[in-house]
Formats: sequence, C-alpha cells, structure tokens
Amino acid sequence: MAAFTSSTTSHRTQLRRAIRQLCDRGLYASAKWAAEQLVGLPEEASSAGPFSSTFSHIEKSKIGRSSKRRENLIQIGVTNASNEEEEDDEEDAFLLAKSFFDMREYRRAAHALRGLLDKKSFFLRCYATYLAGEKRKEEEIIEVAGPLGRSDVVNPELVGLEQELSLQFGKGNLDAFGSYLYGVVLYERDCKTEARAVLCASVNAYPWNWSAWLELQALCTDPDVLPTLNLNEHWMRDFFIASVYLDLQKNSESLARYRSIHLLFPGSDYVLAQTATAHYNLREFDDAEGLFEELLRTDPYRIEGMDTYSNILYVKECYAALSHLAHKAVLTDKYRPETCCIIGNYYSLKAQHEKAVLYFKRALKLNRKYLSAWTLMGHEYVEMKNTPAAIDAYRRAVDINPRDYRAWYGLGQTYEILAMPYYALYYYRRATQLRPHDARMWCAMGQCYESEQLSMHDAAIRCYRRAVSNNDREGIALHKLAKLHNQLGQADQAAYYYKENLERMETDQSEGQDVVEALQFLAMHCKNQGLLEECERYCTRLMDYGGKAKEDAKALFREIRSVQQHTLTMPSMDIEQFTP
Amino acid sequence: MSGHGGSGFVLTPHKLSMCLLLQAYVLPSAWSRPLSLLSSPIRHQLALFLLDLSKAVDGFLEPTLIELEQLLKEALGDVGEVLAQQLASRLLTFLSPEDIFTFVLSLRELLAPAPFPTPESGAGEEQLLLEQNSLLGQFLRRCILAFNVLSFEGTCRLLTDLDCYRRPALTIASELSIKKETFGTTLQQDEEDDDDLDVENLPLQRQTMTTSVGERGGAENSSRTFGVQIVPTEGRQALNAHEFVELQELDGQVGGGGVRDGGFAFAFGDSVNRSDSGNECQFLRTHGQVEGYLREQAVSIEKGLHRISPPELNANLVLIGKLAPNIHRVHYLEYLNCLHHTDYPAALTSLHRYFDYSAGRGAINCGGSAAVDANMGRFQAGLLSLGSMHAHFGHVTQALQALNEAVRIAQQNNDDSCLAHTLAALCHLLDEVGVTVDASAVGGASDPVFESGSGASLAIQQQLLLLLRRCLRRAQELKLPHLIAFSRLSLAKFDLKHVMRLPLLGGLRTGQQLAMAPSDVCKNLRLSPYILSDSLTNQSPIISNATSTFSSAVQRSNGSVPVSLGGQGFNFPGSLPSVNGWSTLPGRIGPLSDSLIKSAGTSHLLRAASWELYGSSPMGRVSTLIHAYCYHDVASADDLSLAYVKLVQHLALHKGYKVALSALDMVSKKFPLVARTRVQATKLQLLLHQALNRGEIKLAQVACGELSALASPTLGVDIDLKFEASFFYALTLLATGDYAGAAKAAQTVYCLCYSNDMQLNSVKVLLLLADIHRKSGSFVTGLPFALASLTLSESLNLDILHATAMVTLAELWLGLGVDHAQRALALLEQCLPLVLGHGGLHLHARTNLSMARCHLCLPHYSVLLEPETVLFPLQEAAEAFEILEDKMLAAEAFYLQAVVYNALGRLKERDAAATSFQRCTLALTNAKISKVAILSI
Repeated sequence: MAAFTSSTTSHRTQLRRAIRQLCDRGLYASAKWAAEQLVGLPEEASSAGPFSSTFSHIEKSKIGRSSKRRENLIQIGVTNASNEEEEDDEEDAFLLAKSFFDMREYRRAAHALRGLLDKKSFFLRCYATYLAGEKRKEEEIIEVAGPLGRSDVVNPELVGLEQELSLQFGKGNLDAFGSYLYGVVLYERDCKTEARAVLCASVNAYPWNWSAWLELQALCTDPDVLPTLNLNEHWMRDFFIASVYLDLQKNSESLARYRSIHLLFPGSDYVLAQTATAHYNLREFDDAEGLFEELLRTDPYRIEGMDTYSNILYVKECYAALSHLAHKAVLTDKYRPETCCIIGNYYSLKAQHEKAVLYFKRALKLNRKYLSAWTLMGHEYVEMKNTPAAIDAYRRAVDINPRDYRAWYGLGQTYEILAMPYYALYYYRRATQLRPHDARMWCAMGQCYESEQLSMHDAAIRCYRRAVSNNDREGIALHKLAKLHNQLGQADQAAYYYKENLERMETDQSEGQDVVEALQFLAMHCKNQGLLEECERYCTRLMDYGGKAKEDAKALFREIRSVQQHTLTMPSMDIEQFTP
Repeated sequence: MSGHGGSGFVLTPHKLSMCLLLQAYVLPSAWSRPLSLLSSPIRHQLALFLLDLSKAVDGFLEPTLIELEQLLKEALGDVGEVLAQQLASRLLTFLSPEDIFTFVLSLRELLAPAPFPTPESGAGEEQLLLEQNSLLGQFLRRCILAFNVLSFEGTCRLLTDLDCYRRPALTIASELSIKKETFGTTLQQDEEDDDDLDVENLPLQRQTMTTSVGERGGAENSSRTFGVQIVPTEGRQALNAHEFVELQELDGQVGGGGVRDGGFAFAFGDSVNRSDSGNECQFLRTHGQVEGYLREQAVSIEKGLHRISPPELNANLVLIGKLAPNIHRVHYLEYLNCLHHTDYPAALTSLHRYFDYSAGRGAINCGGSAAVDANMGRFQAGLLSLGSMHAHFGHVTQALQALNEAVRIAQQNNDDSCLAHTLAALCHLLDEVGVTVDASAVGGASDPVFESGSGASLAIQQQLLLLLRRCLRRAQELKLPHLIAFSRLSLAKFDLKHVMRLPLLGGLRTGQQLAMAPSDVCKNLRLSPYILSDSLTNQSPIISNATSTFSSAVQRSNGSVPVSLGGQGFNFPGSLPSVNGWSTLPGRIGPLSDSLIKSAGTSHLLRAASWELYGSSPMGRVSTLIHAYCYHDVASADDLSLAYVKLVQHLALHKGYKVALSALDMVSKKFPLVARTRVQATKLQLLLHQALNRGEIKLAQVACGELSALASPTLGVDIDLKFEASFFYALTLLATGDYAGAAKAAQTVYCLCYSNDMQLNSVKVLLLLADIHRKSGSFVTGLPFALASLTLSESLNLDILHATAMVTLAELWLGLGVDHAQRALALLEQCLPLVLGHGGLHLHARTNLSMARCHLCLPHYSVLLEPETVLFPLQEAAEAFEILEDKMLAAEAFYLQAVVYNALGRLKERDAAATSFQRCTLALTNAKISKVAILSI
C-alpha cells in the first residue's frame, strides 16, 4: 500500500509540473489531458496535496534521492525552468510572444520570439510558425477546393521548419518538445520511419506530453511496428499501449490494460471514456452505455467521445436519450464535429436522412478527416438510395484511414444492393482482414457467396462456419448453415445446425419464423431417421404456432401414431425379418 | 470555389505569360520597341506556337519560365529569345493585384467585337484581332473569365505563385540589354529611340538589377522598389526570399549557417526553401490537357512501349493525384501500370478505387484487353475491367464470375454497349486464355449468357461460337465498328482453329462444306475492314478517308500476290509515315480509330496464320511483315510479339535454327514483359528442334520439361502449349529410340487433340505416328496413319500438311521394298511443286533425299547414265540438312552421295562426301553421350 501511495504521489508531482511546462509551451491539449489524469488520481493521498506546493517540493527531492534515473529524466524538463528566472529580458519577450500565441496571433508570436536562443523560446517560435502554417493551410483549402473538396495544399512552413529542426536535431540541441515538433513535421512530410524515431526519443526524454504519444500512435497503424519501438518503461507508456491496442481493434487487450490503469487513476474520465469505447468496439453496448452515463454524470459538459455514445443510443434506438444528448451537446458547443455527428445520428434514427446528411456534412466541414462522419454519411446516402454518393463517401473514409472496417463493410453492402455480389466480395474481404473475429463480416461474405448470382455454396458454408466460430450473436450464420446444408441434401449437418440454432434461440428466448422452420425440419428429419419420440417432441412444440405449421404438425402426429401402432402390434416380426 | 473559372480552368502564372505573348501577337504596339515591329510571318509563327502550347499533351505540368524561354527560342529563334526577355521583364512589373487587374482588363482589347470582325479591320499588320470563337480567342476569354471569378484571396494567391514562377525572370531579363542590339540590327528598322523606350518601359527592373548587383546591404531598398507595401504578407516573403537567395549567391556562401541561424532565418527560412522542395512552382495544365496526357500514357502502357519507366510514371501519377485530386483517371492509370507489371494486389486496389470514385462514369476509352469505348455505363464497367484484369492474370474462374456479373448488370441497366464489350471480353477469355471444363460448368449454371444458348452442357468451343455470333449481332445493332471488327476477326480465327462438328456429318466430305474452307475464312477476314469503313461513313472525314483507303489497300494486298511494302499495295504515300501520322495525332482522331487500325492490323496477322495453315509460307511471311511494319505503333504488344515470333518461325523453317534463335533473342529484348511466355515457348521449341536434330537428347529432355512447365497446371487452360509440350515429348522419345513409348505418347496427344476438338493438330499427330512406325521399321502399320492424315489434311485444305503426308507415305512405300519405289516416286513428284514453292527447308530436304533413294531403287535407273538425277537432289538435301543441323539425315545423304560417287569412280568427291559422313556420324555420337543439359534461358 505504501508503494502504491508513493507512486501516486510521484505521479501527482510529475503531472503537476508537466501541466505547467506544457502550458508554458502552448501545448494545451496535452496539458488538458495531463490535468484530467491528475484529477483522476485517488482521493485519499491528495488530502494534503493539491494546495501545498511546498509539500510537493519535498516529495520531489525524496524521489530524486530514491531513483537517480528518473531524476535525470526530470532534469531535462527542469533545466528550462531554472533558466526562466535568470534571463529576465528574454523572459519579457517570451511573455509577450506567449500572450500573442494565446490570442492566436501565431505569426506575431513567432516574430516576437526571433533571435531568442533558449530552448523554450525556440520551441514556441517553431510551434507558432507551424500553427500559422496550419491556419493558412486550412484557409487555403477552403479557398481552393471548398470545404469538402480534396486539395493538395500543404502547410507552407513545413519545409523551412524541417530544415531548421533537423539542423538543431543534428547538433543535439533539440529538447523533448523540439523533437516532438520535429516528429510532427517529419510525419507531415511523409518521412514516417524518421518521425517514429524522433517521437520515440521525445517521449523517452519527456513522457508527459500526451500529444507526442498520440502522434506516435498515429504512426503505429501496423501492428508489427509496435514491438519495434524503443520505449523506456514509464507509466505513461501504459496509457500509450492501451490506446494503441484500442486503435488496432485489439479491444480485449486494451480493455485489460485500461482496467489496470484504472486502479492507479480511479477518477480519470479519460480512462473511463476509453474503456467505454473498448466496450463499444466489442459490441457490449450495455456496459458501454453505463460507462458513458457515468461519464456524463461527472462531466456533464463533455463532448469528446459523445459521438460514440450517440452511436450506442442509435443502435439501441433510444429516441429520447439521443435527443436529450443532442440537445445538451448543442447547448454546450454547437460547432463541434461531435455535436453535428450526434444530431446527424438523431435525424438518422428519425429516418430524416436528408437532414442527417446535412449535419454530417457540417461535421465534415468542421473536420475534414472525421472518419465516422464520412462513414455515417455513406449510410445515410444508402438509405436515400443515392449509391454513387454513398460509395464516394465511404471511399473517402477508406482513403483517410484504410483500416476503417465500417467503411469497407459499407462499400460492400452498397455494391451488394446494386446486385453485384462478386464485386462486393472484394470489399468484404478487406473488412474481414481488418476484423477477422467479427462474425458480421463473415456473414456478409457468406451472403455474397450464397447469392443466386454466385451460388458458391461451399464458400458460403465456410464463411458461415467462421462466423459461428466467432460467436455470431444474431444467429444468422447458424440458420443459414442449416438451410444451406439442407439445400445441398446434407440432412445430418443441417439437423445439427438447426438444433444449435434452436438452442441459441431458446437461450435468447427469441421467437420467430426461424424457430418454426427449425422445428419443422427437425421433426421431419427425426421421423425419417426413425427417432419417433424426438419427432413427437418437436411436433408438440410446433403445435404452439399457428397456421400451416400447426396443420403440418398435426399430420405428422397422425403419421407417427400410425407408425407407432404398427410397430407396437408386431414388434417381433420386424426384428425377425430384418435381423437375420 | 474561388480559384475555378469553369471546368478546372485555373489562372496560373504560365497562363499570364501566355496572355502576354498573345498580346505581343495581337497588339505588338503595346510592347516595347523591337517587338512592336514584328513582321507578320513571325507573328503568325508566334500564333502557331501559342496554339501548340495551349493544346500540347506531352506533359501534365505547365512549363516553367525557363522552359518557356527554351521553347520560344526553339520555335522562333532570335526573336523568341528577345520575346522571352521582354516577357520576363513584363512579368516583373506585376507587383500588386492592381497591376494584374489592369492587365487583364487590357486583354479585352485583343478580342474582336462579338459578331464577326468587320472587313475594314484588315489593316493587316497592326490589327490582328482575335476572333471570339477561335481557339486562341477562347483561351483568352477563359483566362479573362477565370480572373473575373477570382476572389481577392485568389488574386493574392496568383501573385504569390507568380513570385515563385518569375524567380528566374531576373536573370533572363538581364540578358536583354546585350541581346537587344543584335536583334535590332537584324530587324533593320528604325533604331533611333530604341534605348529611350526601353528605359522607359523597364525602369523597375533596371533599378533592381543595380541594387542587387551593387551592394548587398541594399536588400531593404530593393524590396521597396518592388512595391512590397502593396503586396500581401506572403508575397512579401517570397519576394524578400528571392532577393535573399540572390544575395547569398552573390556572397558565395549559399546555405551559410551564420545568416540562417538567428531570427533572420525565421523570416525567410520557410520561403527560401520553397524552391528547394520544388513542388510549390508546379502547376497543372488545363483539365483537358492533363486528361490528354493520361490518355497518351495509357495507350503507351497498353502497347508495352515503355516510354517512361514504371516508377517514374508512378511518381508522375502521384504528383497529378496530389495537384488535382479530382482527376480520377489517375487511379485508372495506376491500375494499368500495375497490371502491366503484374502487381496484382496493387492493381486490384487501384481498380476499385477508380471505379468507386468515378462510378464508371468516366470514359474509359483506353480500356482493358477488349478495347472499350467511351460513354460506358456505370458499375458494370468496373466489373468488366475487373474481369479482364483477372483474365490478364489468368484467374479464369474469377474472371468468369466478374464478367458474368457484368453481363447481368449491363442487362439490368440496359447498357448495351457495355454488354457487347463484356461479351467480347468473354469471348477473349474463352478463346485466348482457355477455360477449364469445371469452371465453365460453374459459370454456365448461373450464367444468363450460356443459359440463353442451348444448355450448359455445350462444349466450350460451341459456347464460344454462340457468344461470338451474339457479340457480332449486338455490335452490328449498336454500330460499334471496333467490336464488329473484333468479333469478325474472332470468328475467322475460330473458324481457322476449329473444325465444326456438324451433327449429321456422315464422315468427312469435301472441305467446302466445312467452315474450314479457306474461302470462308478469307471472306470473314475481308469483311472486317469493309465493315470498318461502312460504319464509319458518318464519322469525321479523316477517319472514313483513312479507313476506306485502308480497306481498299487491304483488298488489293489480299488479291494481288506481289505486295511490296510502300509500293503500290498501299496507296497512301509511304505507308509507314502515314500510319505513324494517325497515331501521333492524339485527341484528333480518337481512340476509336486507333482500335480500328489495330484490328485491321490483326486481320493481317490472321491472314498470315491462314496462309501458314493452307500452305503458303511466303504469303504468310508477307502478311506478317505488313503487320510488323505498318502497324507497329498501333498494334498491341501481344499482336506485335506474335508477328515477330511468326517471322522468327519462318526464319527457322527456311534459314535454320541458329539464325532464328539469334533473332529471337532480339525479340525477347524488345518485349521484356508482356509476351514473356510466348517468346519463351518459341525459344524452347526452336531449341528442342535444334537439339533433336543434333541428337542432344539430354538437352531435348530438359527443354521439353521446361516447355511443359510453362503451361498453367490448371486443367483445360493453355491447351496449345500443352499440346506442343506433349508433342515434343513424343518426338524426344522417338529420338531416344523408345518407339513403344513414343507411340504411346503420341496416342495420348491424339486423345488430347480429340477431346479438345483440335482437328488441325490431330493431323500432325497422325503424321507423327506414321513417322514413329516408319522409324521403328514396321512400315505396314504406319500406312493407315499416313493415309488418314492424307485424307484429313485434304478435306481440311491443309496443303502443306498434305504434302508432308505425301512425303511420309512415299517414304513408307519405299520402306516396304524396292518394288514400291515407282509408286513412291510418283507420289513425290506429285507433291513436288508445292514443296518447292511453299515448303520449309526440312520438307524440301526430305523430299530430295527420298527422291534420290527412289531413283536408286528403281530397276531401270542407272547411275552411270544419269548421275545428276540423283546427285543433284542429294547435294541439295545434304546442304539443307547441314543448315538445319540434322546430323542423322545429313549423314544419310552424304553416305548415298559417297556411294554414288564411288560407283561413278569420282574418288575425290567420294572422299569428300565420306569425310562429311564421318563428321556427321561422329557429331551425332558425341552429342548422344554429351550431357549438355544446361539451358541458358
């Protein structure tokens, strides 16, 4: 317990310092994240903490003695702090620049910082330049290609920044923040391997910059890359690994990691949201919903991740809850892509697809790379029977992130609607490659193979088997398998799958035509096999249903009776006749 | 959408230059002295130059200022140089948006008033107004329009781009003062106030020159002369930057860290490096021009003429994709590129991406294996391309599925032209690639195409025939000339390859009743170009002219025997350049005529094949040559390689294998990628022949194995290749002396032929069987085979095979004993004209040898009386066999020669013949024991 608390206090001090340092450099997103985690640390140890900075100083020195290595790490971050007090003139200029920066006058900030040589000023200058370029880029995209157009505009400052940063990097003058920026620039210049190396160096030198980790995560789209990264052991690394797993759709692993992190940061909203997302990805909607509700209770004005929540509400068809969420989001911040997405989901649920498209478009205008909006817009276009637009939207999503299995799946579905099952197969194949353990993908592929145009039953059966072995919850696969085997005249296998399906439906307590069909087949099958008692059982169950099934069952009953009487009257003869 | 003035027409610095040059052309008086006095021929030259520039499709990027200068110099010589310098200095005068605005306003003066230019404007030299609807007029109007719709940001952007574009202008303009004098003297006009005017016109530029050259401290000064106050931020940086570069260069310390390190580096660093990154100065040409460029590239890829290397092309495509993400055809080209470098996954990805974005609406007139026409339907087009891609990679089942689906969707969407194309692709698949029986059954079961025929149980060939007929009918209905041509050609080819099994055919009757009849095939062949010209009468005059001349030429070449190239056979002046001319006018004739010319070329190839079959190798050679010479720039690499291979085979038949093999090496260098298997197979066949002749059994066995390995392992695919392989296997066995094995192998081959309906090849196999029996010494059992092949080849009109069968028969008779020599001789004499006229070297020699042997056997023949009747054919045979390296038969000929000379008492010649005999036999025994089995493939 003591170790636990001491690690908690050390986390606390680290985070506190990090927030200050990050804010100093204008890295607000990371600061925000760090603050979220800081608050997320357990309560009881913090009773003395948050208000006494002296205490934390003492703590720091304690830790410094206990672990030399960590102290060194921190030292890198701290050196700047010591410089700050010494050079007042420079500090004044920096303050001016920082206030410009905070007012989003990036070029002015960069200009004010010119000539200042200390690392913090250097970083802020480069960062401001970068942001100025980004701002200009966004404006230019709108000028050239319109809000949703594709364009080639790149940040005009990248080349210069790269040269300057690489020069400093070569000289070894770059601190962790500098190398973070260098990594970002390299990434945008499409030098991914170099960017990865530089970002690794950055997070090893200063682990509390969450933005750097995120950039690194964006560079780890290939699962094989992760083990090759040279990362020092640090608790921030655990956050990173969990997040990468989530991104790579290794949801269960990710969930396990978040659970262990949750023990350290029990109050972190971030961890909560990520856990909820993992549950959502695993299609455990109830768990995810509960977590999101909890999240909203503690942080009612939160918008991040609420689009996922709205997806869950959409799937569960909670009209009222979704509208409530949308209303709250609009009141909080109307011009957030997530907000637009929530509203789009709401309209989609209300089957007002034109309006939904409108809002998804707005979301995309706010963030052109907002993946799920592209995919959802594709869904809406499919509903509106505008297939070319749907295909275009899905394709944009896929081109932004080729690992977006939903868009691949959507593309496949759209082509299937166009009665092109063979063409659709390609897309489903891509989707299954991304989610090999998702039964829905396999079912979709099976349906393509099964379609009357292709009628490749063997392939279809193989797909459905994969679906069954991957826990197909909707039970489509079992039913289809049974039917297919029946069609192919393989009665035994058909009976096996019908039975399985029946069991599944019994446990789910679902009723429907499938049950009747299964019972009918099984009754017939048992009769043919001579299993009269079993057949009787199925027939009795069939009697519960009306219509033709009931009549058939009655007829079967009569047949069984007559056979039974026949066998009862002369059982010995039968045996004598047929068994010599 | 501020940057767009209509369909992707963006005002770029280069277009500003064009406008300036247009001004120089129309209103030279607006320009400074020497140019204001341009004579009208030069002005017209300039106009042509501009016209050319606005239409060019040889690249996709607009030329930079330096390139433009080069082009001007090339086109107009000295005048061009001065023009370029003037242009550069004029460009430097654009300092603020206002300057551009006034310039564009002034451009309106260049246009003639709306209706038609009034006749009195014929003031000639001075007033050459542009007509509104002329090409240049349109260009100018588009520029003006593009500027008018430009927002202020757009104008600023233009100015920024302009700064980047005109960076080299300073150096160009600096040469002005030097060059101008020489130019002035050449023009020999009044040159009094030359300099004054110039100074007036170019004050700014002069000043900057002095400042930047003069003292380096004056950087701020010079920037002020550029009027930076008016230029918005970005423009300012760029301008500053370029001076910065200049200064650094003057100091001789480019990239000196000292200057860049401090805050100074920030102010300039980024924009200085723009020139390093390079892509800031790149502007795409107009949409139409880029499309034209892409089309050109597609054609060149399809033909396998790798003008630029694939990685380079890929880089270009990526660049286009970056600069203009809306041009989807880039993906299509990526697909083609991958396809032709057999990169299956990448091809698949690009294909799907292309059709996802374009939804098949983009015209794919440079389509897959079957030439695809413009204005295709929608997703069925994607399926069609997918199908032909799978066919290209040999994925027969997948190709069938895709094409079947394409047929269905096309039917659903009433897309007849796509349907026709899909049918054609299906035919191609069935015909060229071959389909396994299983696969066709799978396809047939669910396939509307086959179901509408007469049941799924039809043999593949019959399905193909039905399909082809259906395809032809549809093409005729839809008036798609290239498809008509394609289906006619395919029908002709089908008829050539297959003998129709008429259901009630009680034994074979005369050849006339079979579709094999040469006249039918020729009719089909001739019809195809006719159809081309017929259906094209309503097309543009150029095309119909071209094709009608062409078809008449074809007609003539077909009818008359002596077709000399470039001679009267073709009545367009010098066939080569004119055909060249067609294909080098892209976008004016269009891909339609390209594919037509292509199929016309293919018809020549087919004709060559028919000649080959019917027994005239010289005629076949001529047809092949016509194809290889006249169509080399339009034909697909597939056809072209086939033509070359045919020529090589001809060479092998008449000049021996050594020559042919060296020729083949050249062919394989020419077609490194596309026709690999075909060239390889031919090479192996030649090697096999050579090895068998030489007696190198080991080598032959290895080559035979390689040949059979070339064929796809799938059942029913690559039948021709499989046939060749097993045929050679039998031959190899025969050469080793394993007669029983050879006979067994030959029988298997025969079964293969029978089951696959390859009657033509079965004749060959029968001949082989006869040969095997002959060599094994059982002449009587050989006779029925020889007779069967004789009858078959006669009824199928296979003249050369007929002649060969006759020779074999004669040899068999001769083997039966001396009594039959007379009969054998009669047979030989009967087929002699054909053999001498059209036969290959080997047949030639065989006939000669047999004739000599017959004569020697004849009882009433005496060597002493007429030695030449024997000696002459023997000599001929020996020479021919030497060329062909057939040691065994050469030895026999020499032996007979020696015997005859001995009888005649000509000892010296006898000894020579005997030595030759010894050489041959020794070589043969050496070869048999040698283990040369390493192939240099």
